Amino acid sequence: MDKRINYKINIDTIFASASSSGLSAIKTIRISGTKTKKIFKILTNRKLPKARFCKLVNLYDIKNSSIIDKAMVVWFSSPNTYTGENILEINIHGGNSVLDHLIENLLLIDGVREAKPGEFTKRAFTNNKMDFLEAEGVMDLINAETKFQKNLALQQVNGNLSTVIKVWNGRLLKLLAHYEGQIDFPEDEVPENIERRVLSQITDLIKEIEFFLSENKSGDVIRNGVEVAIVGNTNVGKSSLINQIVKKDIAIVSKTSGTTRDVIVSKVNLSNIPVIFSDTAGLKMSVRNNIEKQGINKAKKVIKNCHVKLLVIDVTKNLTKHILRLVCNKTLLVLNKIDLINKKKLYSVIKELNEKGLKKISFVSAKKGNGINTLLNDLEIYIKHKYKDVFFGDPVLTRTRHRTALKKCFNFLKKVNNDKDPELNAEDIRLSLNSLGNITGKYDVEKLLDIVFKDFCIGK
Amino acid sequence: MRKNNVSRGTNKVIVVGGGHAGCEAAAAASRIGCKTLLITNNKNKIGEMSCNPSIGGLGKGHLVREIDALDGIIARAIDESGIQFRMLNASKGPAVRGLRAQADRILYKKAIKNILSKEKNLKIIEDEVIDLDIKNNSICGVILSKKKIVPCETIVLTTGTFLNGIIHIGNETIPAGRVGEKATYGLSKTFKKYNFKLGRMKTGTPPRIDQNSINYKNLKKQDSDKKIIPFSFMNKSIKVKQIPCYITYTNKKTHKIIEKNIAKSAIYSGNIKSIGPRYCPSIEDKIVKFKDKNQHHIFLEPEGLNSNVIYPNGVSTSLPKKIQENFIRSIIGLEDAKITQYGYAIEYDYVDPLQLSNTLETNKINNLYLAGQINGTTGYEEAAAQGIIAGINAALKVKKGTEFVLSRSEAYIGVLIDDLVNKGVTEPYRMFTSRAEYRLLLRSDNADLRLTPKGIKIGCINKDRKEKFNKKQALLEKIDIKYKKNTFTPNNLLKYGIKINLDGKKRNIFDLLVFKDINRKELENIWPEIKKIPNDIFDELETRSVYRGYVERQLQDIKDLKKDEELKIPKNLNYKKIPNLTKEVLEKLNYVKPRNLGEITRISGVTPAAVINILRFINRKKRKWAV
Repeated sequence: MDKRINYKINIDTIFASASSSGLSAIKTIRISGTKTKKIFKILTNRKLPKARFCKLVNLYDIKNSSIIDKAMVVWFSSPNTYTGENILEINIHGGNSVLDHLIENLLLIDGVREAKPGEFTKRAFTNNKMDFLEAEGVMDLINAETKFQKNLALQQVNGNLSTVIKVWNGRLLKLLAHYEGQIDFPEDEVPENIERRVLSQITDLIKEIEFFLSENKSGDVIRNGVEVAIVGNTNVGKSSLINQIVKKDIAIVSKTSGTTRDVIVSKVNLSNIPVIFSDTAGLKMSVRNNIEKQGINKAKKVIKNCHVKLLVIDVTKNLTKHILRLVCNKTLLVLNKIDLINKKKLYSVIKELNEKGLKKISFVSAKKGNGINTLLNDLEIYIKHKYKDVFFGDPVLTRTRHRTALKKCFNFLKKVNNDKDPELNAEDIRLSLNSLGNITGKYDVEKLLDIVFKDFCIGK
Repeated sequence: MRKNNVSRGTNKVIVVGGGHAGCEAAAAASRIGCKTLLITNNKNKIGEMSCNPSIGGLGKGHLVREIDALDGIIARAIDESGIQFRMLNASKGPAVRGLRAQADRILYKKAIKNILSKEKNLKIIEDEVIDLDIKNNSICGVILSKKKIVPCETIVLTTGTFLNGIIHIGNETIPAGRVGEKATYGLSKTFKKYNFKLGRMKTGTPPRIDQNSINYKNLKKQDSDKKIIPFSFMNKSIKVKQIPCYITYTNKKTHKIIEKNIAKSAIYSGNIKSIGPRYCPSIEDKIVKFKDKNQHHIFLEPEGLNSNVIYPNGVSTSLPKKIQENFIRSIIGLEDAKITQYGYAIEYDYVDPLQLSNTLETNKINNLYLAGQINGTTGYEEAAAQGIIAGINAALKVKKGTEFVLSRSEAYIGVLIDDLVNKGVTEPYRMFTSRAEYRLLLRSDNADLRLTPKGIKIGCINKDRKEKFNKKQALLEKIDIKYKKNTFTPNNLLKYGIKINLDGKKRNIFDLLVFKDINRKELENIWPEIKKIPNDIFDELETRSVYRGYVERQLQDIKDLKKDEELKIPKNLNYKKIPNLTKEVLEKLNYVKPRNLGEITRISGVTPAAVINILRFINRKKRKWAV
């Protein structure tokens, strides 16, 4: 082994939420380790406050400097702390989205990770801080913690994300088993093309996880609101529609122009779900000038990134192919100007759309304000259904952990490729499995060998 | 050495058994400087290969190199007796290449005997050990066949498959340790008397075939590698003549014969109840479990240069003799095969290895070490690896030295023993590279760099190896420093015709070798001085470069492991006094007796809460002692 490698032990800084995951007015996050000073400086841009004094500070997002929350922080200096290490306690407002946002930022800092069950106590022990542990009830707390996690784990069986992750974990283990099979048993009856087969299946898995991560941006949905883009040809009544929607809503948050003139954004509170409506530039066949072109490009980007697409169609005009091409799996159709045609004409339009498989349709007259309530109702049902795990699913901390784990897993998998030595690919697959370990249980070589011996006839 | 020990006789370490574990243990104890006595039932069977005549392979080859790095004997013996050397996975990266050699059984035994005869502190006698002389749960000596007591300080027991061994061929059952050798019963009783938990395992061998009765005409030939790499660090080349193996296949007819008679096989008739290894199934198992396969390959391995016996690797069986003959003769090339010895399955007792510590000393009896198949493993290499560790520790105990334990992060030997004593076995344990979580670090090509310095420290390395190793290490460091400084920018390289990304990064020659399309030859054309670097040193530096990113990550993991291992658990900790431990956890801990935090966390069923409880208890005790 390389002699110059420094074996000095340098352990991670850990954090945990000290509050329960339900709703509460204030949530407390405790951070312990060598990086706490740095974390404070990065998040607040301020000098460290005096130890053991409360301080009100703004916490800033690391990436874009927006404010995460106004928080009360207390700094405890080593060694007179629970763990014996430096500890930073942050008290934030109780919304899940704030907690989510803060955790995401903490995870961006190198060497910082979420604490494992009992890890604060373990550190207290290793740093000879047992006096705290002697206090009554600590053991009960730890026991409760594991019990709580057990319950959580049981709950999650029905939860969307964790089920999916478990299935992927199973597939990955099998792929690794087959991959290891061809490494460890070169002279046995392992199919010759197994390496290629595993690699191609990994490519599929990468695509699935990538799609899942991009579709299931639950954290983003909660923090920023559900993004709804209003799309359609020019002059179909998009702007009238957004005006009607904004009028209906009593709690208008803001109405601002986008960075270009062509995307208008309105934030609306729909039965306590924050929803952001974007009015996009009308899509046209021919483009007159450069400004219009820019507007359309901008609109295309908004359409691509939105969670829901409201496609507005003018029922007085014929349906064009190019507008129907905009329909995708996140589209709700809005037929506008129903006050201008008779019922018979309307039925024929509906029939035509139904024949094309388009069934999620609302009818409005944006000008007169008819049907807007129904539209908003439909939208609410749609959002609640599609993002049900966000609104009714796992607690926010668990979900963030799942997403972080899945992202890590994804990043390791992406390193796998044909040109690399197989033992390095195997290492990447193993690391990707390990990153799911917190959720699915530790990677166990015996389970892997079970698969190898079941699927291949080993033993010459 | 203490004077009052003289009364115990001259032998300090006694090794029982002359198989692969026993030979390695005896040689190691002797190298360290302890008077050692090896007791075997039959001197002629010392170094016997009772199963297939080959050594090494994936994982196993790694073990051989590691034993060699501690100056063990298995690598040197196979280098003097190997008749077909092959590097498995040669097209894959260095961490998963495995050297394997077919052996001439006679030459191998000769080589082992020759090496052992040169050990100055070693004496070998022929006798049967019927019991152990134990007082106050400590070893005092062994008791031989005529009730003769031979005193000693430590014992390494390596009885292989001889404990209550029973051979099965069809309906026949013969008590035996190997074909033609009687089993051992006395020691099984000894273990029972001291409440050791014993288990039963099964393994098998194929029938042997007379070479002259085989028709090789239509069979695929497999030659030795053109460029042979020896196992031992001490050897530069192999002098033994190389001969080929041949490959043939079972067919539908073979499978039909076996299927029809499956009930007559000892495994399927219910005669054998114990577990056999999944990676070494009998031909009966292969046909029952993989019904969709129309053929299974068989390697026809010669047992030696002057031997007529062929070992058909792949058809181990416990079917009746007549049926063995029938199915063998249904195979292409074996139509007229003459069986010289029938295949059989053997059942034997093993001692649950959870009752051992990492030095392979038993938890129940002081100074008693167990190594090899008795601990539930299989394979010569696995046995030898345990033998060398048990032998070293048995000798160090006599010399009052500190224990010699290898961690999972340091050696495959460490993985093997950690698995055995903390996870236990459910089938005969065999090493695979996938068992080693630090596989990229634990390469067979750097076994010497990893382990020889440790061996030098405890005094188990002979002078010639020590000198050779120190020379290599010095040269390696010199070259490493020299060529690390020697860097080139992409623009620089372009002048020599090497095209890489113009990223401005300075690279040394080993960084350049990370690129798949750049090889050593090309670089030699540009910088002729590289030619002077010896191959092993060049390869080591190149591998370090290729693996760098991955190895750095593994080293990070190792730091966590080390921290847990540094937290020692007192040897005689009374777990009963620790509050709130469940009965299951309590039983597990008392049985396994973990020695550090890392081991506790690897025992199945021990919860994080239990771990905290234990830590808390130990710490309180520590403070009391301090007062």
